[in-house]
Amino acid sequence: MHKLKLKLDNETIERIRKVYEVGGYSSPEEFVIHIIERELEALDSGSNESEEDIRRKMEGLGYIE
Amino acid sequence: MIFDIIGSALTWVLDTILLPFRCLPPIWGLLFISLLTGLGMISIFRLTSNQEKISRLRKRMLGEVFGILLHVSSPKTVIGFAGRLIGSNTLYLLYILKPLLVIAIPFMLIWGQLDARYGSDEGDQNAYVTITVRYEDSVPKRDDITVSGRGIEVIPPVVMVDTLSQVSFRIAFEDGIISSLNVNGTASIVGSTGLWNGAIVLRGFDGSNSLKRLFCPWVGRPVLTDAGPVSGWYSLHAVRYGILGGHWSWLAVFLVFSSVFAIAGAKIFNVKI
Amino acid sequence: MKRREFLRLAALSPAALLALKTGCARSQISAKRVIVLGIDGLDPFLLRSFIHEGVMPNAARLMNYGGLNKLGTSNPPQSPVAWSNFITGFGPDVHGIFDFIHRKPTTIEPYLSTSRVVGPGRIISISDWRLPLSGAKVELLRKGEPFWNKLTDEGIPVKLVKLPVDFPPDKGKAIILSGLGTPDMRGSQGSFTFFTDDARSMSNSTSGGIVVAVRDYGDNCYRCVIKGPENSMRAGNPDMEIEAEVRVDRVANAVRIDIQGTSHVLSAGEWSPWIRMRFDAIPNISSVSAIGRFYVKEITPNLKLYLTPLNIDPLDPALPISTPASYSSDLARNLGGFYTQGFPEDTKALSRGVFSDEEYLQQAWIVLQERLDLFHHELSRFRDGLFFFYFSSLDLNLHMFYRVLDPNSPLYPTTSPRFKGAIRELYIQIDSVIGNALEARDANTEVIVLSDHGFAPFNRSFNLNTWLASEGYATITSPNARNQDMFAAIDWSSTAAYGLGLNSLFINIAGREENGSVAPEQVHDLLLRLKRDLESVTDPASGRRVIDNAYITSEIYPGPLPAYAPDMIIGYARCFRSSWETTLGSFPEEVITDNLDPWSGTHCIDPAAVPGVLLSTVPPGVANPNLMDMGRSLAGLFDIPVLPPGGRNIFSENGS
Repeated sequence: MHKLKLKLDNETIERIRKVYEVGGYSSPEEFVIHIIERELEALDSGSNESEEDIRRKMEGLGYIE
Repeated sequence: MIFDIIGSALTWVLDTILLPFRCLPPIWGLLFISLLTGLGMISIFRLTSNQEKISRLRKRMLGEVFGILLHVSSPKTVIGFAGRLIGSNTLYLLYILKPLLVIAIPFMLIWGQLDARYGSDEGDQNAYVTITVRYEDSVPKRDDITVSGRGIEVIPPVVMVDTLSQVSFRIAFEDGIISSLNVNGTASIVGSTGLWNGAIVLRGFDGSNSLKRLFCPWVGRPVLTDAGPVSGWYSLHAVRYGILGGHWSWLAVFLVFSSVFAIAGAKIFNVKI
Repeated sequence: MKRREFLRLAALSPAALLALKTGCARSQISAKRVIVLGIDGLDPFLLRSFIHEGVMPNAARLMNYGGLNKLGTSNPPQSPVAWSNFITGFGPDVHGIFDFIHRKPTTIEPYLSTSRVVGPGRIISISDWRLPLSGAKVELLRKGEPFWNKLTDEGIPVKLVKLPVDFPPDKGKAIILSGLGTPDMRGSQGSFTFFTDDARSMSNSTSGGIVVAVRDYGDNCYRCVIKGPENSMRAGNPDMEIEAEVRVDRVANAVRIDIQGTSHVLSAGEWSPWIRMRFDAIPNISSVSAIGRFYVKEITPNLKLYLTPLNIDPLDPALPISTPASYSSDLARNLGGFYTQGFPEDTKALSRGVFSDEEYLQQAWIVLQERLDLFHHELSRFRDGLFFFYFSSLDLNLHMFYRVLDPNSPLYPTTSPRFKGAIRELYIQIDSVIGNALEARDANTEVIVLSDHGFAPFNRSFNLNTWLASEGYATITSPNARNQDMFAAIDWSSTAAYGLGLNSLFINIAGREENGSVAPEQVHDLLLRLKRDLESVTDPASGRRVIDNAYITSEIYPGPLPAYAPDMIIGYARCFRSSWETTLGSFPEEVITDNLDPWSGTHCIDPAAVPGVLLSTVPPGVANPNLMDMGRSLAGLFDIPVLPPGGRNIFSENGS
């Protein structure tokens, strides 16, 4: 397993500590990992190829946004 | 130096051969050179190859092919014939190696000449041509860069790329004049070297490399000065020729037609290839 | 003239000799020539006012022959639907195009209505390479027979330049260059790239283009990666990429763009010529060609470099854009590169703030100038038969600049008065085109100018889906997802109707939609109720009706309808249109809001409010001509035994 160290400012760490339990996470690390995974999933086009394709085809059609 | 002399001689020969085609569209000259090249190649092949050996080998290869066809039901025999056919093929390649080596050098020289003459547009009057020049060490100060020329109009701006010792700018051609460029005293022709079809179209200049100029005659020989750039290149467009509804590059025209003429020549003069 | 052109013209090219075809000349039935100018969005009311102003003398001349006629448009009056009506002589029930956007009935996934790509059949996979055994195909989704087949069947030459809704172009005997509906190389309708190191320009939006962050690492060079089409020969279809090195000279306020061995010098504010780019699918073996133009918006303090959508290269088209295939390359060799994409005016760059109004207009004029060059080139070569030429400029520029014509536009006060004349200038330019066509006319030539629809302001946005939810026709379960596309907020099990596309409304029918909730036998009553409710919606700001007519599709198109057809077509009143958000299934909070996008004109409303125009040297013999009549009528101008089946022949006394 590769390691990636993150530096967060104290204020953010404090906020994570406050909210992780409310969100039902067992540790601040689990909370951070889940948030990152969720974002990656949303950004990763491979996971939702057909919709991405469809969007691309409609891109540039001035009539829609 | 010697390369420059050979290069100039070759250019003179090609210019002379193409003399009758100067007023015709360029494709005619290209086709004529393809005809000469095809016939030339087949003549050299005839002179440098052992025609008798090739003839015998071809008969043998034909026999081996028939052998395979006749014994299709017997895999063992087919493999035997196939093995012999591979051997004959190798031998054939050896036979033609010498003529091919002899043909290679003139072929490359002609290739360069034709690419220089038919490969590139000489610059369109309606469009700009971007020119980039390179200085030996570093680019002079902005105010010290002088760009002028004959038959061209320099279009501002002049872009300095210090990190590469380069300066780039655009020119537009004026009608009907052989165009020359002068950057800080270094002078070179831009576009065609003559006002006839089939003249060499220069795509740059290089003061140092005469071997390159022999095989790539589209690199012009500049008049150099200490303050000026040592080399330069022009962004010209490749030319396409409309044949049979297609858009052929000069190379496609040359390879296809020289091959067609070579095969026709082999048939007519009974050369075994 | 090119240098030494006179020498080249002095002799006959052997290429021409080689290409010479033998065979009999066609049996010529008629030497009649018909020039048709298809001007998208030419509005009868604006036209009349400019004619009265005296700035359109040629249109006035043409009007003297057969009057200024309103031309009935399609329902809905969207260009793909309208031009399909023109091409086939029938409505959407026959040609199958109901909206810019259709949806898969089961999954509600939207897709472009006019064409689709069918992937390769079998693929051999070696490592992460994928080698297709058969090529991918593009398929035109418009059905029905084009009217010109009846002409070409009789040997009458037909040439249609920039023809809308014909990508890929028909493989018949007509010469065609495809127009509206032709994608760019990335498969979109036009996706620009904007390279910048200005943090304020960064955005995650991909609508109409992408903003790419670049950086100068101190060597005055920005390495700009240009994303090309997908590489279908690699697993996962990654985008093919090439790199352009942009070297800046901040003192000269200029750049040099080095791309694939060519260099281009440009000052700030300048456009490059069309630049050819090759994208390798398999290096040295398989590649595709694209063309693009750079625009240097700014160099200092920040680099702002715009690249047009990568257009299909007309000289070496990766997808079919013309019939015969060599037609586009012939044009490119004569005229140089040109926009091949269907929507060339970059309205999205203006909407996204990448272009200022001025820069957008500059780009739009580049497009128009290219079109004019193409038109003059083709007009000068036109000898006989039918010649159709399409202009997109009025349509897209009215979309973007209606705000300067209408004082009620929410953007009217903030738009510089300098642009007030922009629309007039375009109409004047179109008038000169009409003048060219009239000049080319002889005793055997007819000139016809027609448009697919007119124009109206788009000042107020109607959030159809929000309205459906507020009236209990749809249920929102995830309020946080209201602003997400694709009905992320909806509870399908208790949703009866939903809006998608510009004028389409669908019933969530059990058995048709995956999570359908309305029994088929209840659909008609539901539609009647919806019609009544929709037609009584008023704008609280003005008290005006929002929807003139809600058409039940099966009543206006009684033929069997495909499952993707909308159940209702919304005919908005003038000034209103479906909102940006609602077209792809979002639910903004408010039902009606101001439209603050520069895209300020529309025609996607009730067809009666936006008729097209017909000007003709042949006076129409029947009342209320319609776009669907035009194919039969144009064919009727030639002496042929069988006319196309759709519509009426408006140039004959009895319309037959």
